[in-house]
Amino acid sequence: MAKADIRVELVTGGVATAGLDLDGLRDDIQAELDKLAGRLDLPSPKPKAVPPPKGAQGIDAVLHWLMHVAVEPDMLKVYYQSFVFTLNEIAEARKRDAQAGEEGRNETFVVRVKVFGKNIALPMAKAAIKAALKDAGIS
Amino acid sequence: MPDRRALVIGSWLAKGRDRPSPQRIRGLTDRWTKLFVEDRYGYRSLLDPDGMPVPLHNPRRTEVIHHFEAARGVGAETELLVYFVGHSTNRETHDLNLVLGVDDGGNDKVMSLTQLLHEARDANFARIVCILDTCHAGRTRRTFAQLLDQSFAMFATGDAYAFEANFSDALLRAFEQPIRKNDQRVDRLAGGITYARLFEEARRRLVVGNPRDSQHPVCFGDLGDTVVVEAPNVVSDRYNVFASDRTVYGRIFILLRLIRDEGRPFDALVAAARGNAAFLLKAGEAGGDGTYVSRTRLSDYVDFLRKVRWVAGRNDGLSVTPEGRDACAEERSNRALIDAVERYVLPADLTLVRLDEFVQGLLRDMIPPTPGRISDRAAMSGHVLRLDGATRIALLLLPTTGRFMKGAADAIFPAAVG
Repeated sequence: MAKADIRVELVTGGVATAGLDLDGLRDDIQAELDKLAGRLDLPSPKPKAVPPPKGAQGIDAVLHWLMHVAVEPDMLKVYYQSFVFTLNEIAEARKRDAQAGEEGRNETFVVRVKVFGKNIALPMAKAAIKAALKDAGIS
Repeated sequence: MPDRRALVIGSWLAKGRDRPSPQRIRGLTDRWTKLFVEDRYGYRSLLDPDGMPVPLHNPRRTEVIHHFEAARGVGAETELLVYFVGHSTNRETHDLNLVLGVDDGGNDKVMSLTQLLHEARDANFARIVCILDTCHAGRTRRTFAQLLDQSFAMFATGDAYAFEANFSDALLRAFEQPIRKNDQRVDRLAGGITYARLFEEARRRLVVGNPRDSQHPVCFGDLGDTVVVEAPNVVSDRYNVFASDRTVYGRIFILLRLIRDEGRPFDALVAAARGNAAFLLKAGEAGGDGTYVSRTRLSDYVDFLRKVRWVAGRNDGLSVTPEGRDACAEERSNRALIDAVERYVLPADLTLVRLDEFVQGLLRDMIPPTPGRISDRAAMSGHVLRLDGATRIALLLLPTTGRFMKGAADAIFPAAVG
């Protein structure tokens, strides 16, 4: 993975929690990646799956998108910052909806974004995202 | 046997998956077929109330819908067992897509669980037992909320993975095993093997049998108490040979034989009992005399024998009646005792079945069913059960007339007459 590439993972560990619309979450992530790809004039990345353990009778454990990027880093930083915050809002909203529907449930999904070599697991507090982006050289 | 129908669906096709294998799925559906043919549970086809269910393998959605649309003879009490084994994926927030097969493009062909339930409801099924051996099935609890009093759901797992159709294997074993002594699938209060107990037996097998593939089956719904196979507590006509001589049961028959062999006055009977180990309460130390059943207690025994009309005469000349002689015959002793208690000891308006209900009521309320409590509970229902010596003896005798005699159940369940 080159330094400017961006990688997004939707990690469920094979758990399809009641109250969580996983397909909706996947579509939201795809839509944001489509937007980002459009801004960078790149093809939209399609998700690849990490299959479940052998013999399991359900969904993929992880979906991941990888976008190969080779453009001016300064411009990228602005896009990536916006992208990460938007993904965080999406993940937060899905988590909130699911918890409203299923009282007391802890969601098991994580949306993991890797930018400039830094992994950021969403949803996360905004201040923590800012710190993580700063570590990645995006601020 | 209630009208029961079954729809069994097995699918091994799913995008990118090669397990569970076709052989595994066919093996499971073959076992369902065998169960249907054995006919212990009385399941029939949706399409033909007289025909046996035929499992569907990787069916088209229209094929499944056809089974519901063409269902015949469905009444308000008809029970539907719908079983699916295969793969599933999440759908929306509380639903599942059951993967029926793959299309020409290699993508999953699915039917949602909600649609399956709608089809069942549209076909007028109002009692639905749903078994899903797929991943994430437990996420559909809310989907079943409106059907809670009309359904029982048995799912291989909550919202995580199920593996290798292991749940099906465990559940089928629970269905397949014949009833055994002390069978934990039998819900005594319900009167037989229930769906909930079948599920629990499957869960037992699963949690101890597959530590590598950890999964946690879930169940919900009010129809879990439905009795699938009745298991009445059959009472033997013969003398209960498992009963110790030192039980009230054993002592009553020993006294009866003592009186039969030598018609004797009560005092002589007390003396004879003192020499009989069955009446020993506590052995004496260093060869001294032990403590034996008291004279008062023996008097209660004799009163009981008089009340059931096995013994006649005053205390100075006890003798056995023809009924008493008949009761001494081991092949009829137990039945004779039960009949005599019901006929002569209990009040005319109180049957043993009703007595069982009082005891079960006490157990539900976590109250020990002692003679006093049973008498109170009977009075609460308008039945007077006077606790004279003979009645107390009768209440102590009844548990030992049951067929399965060992353990605490003896102490708390009067025998059901089966």
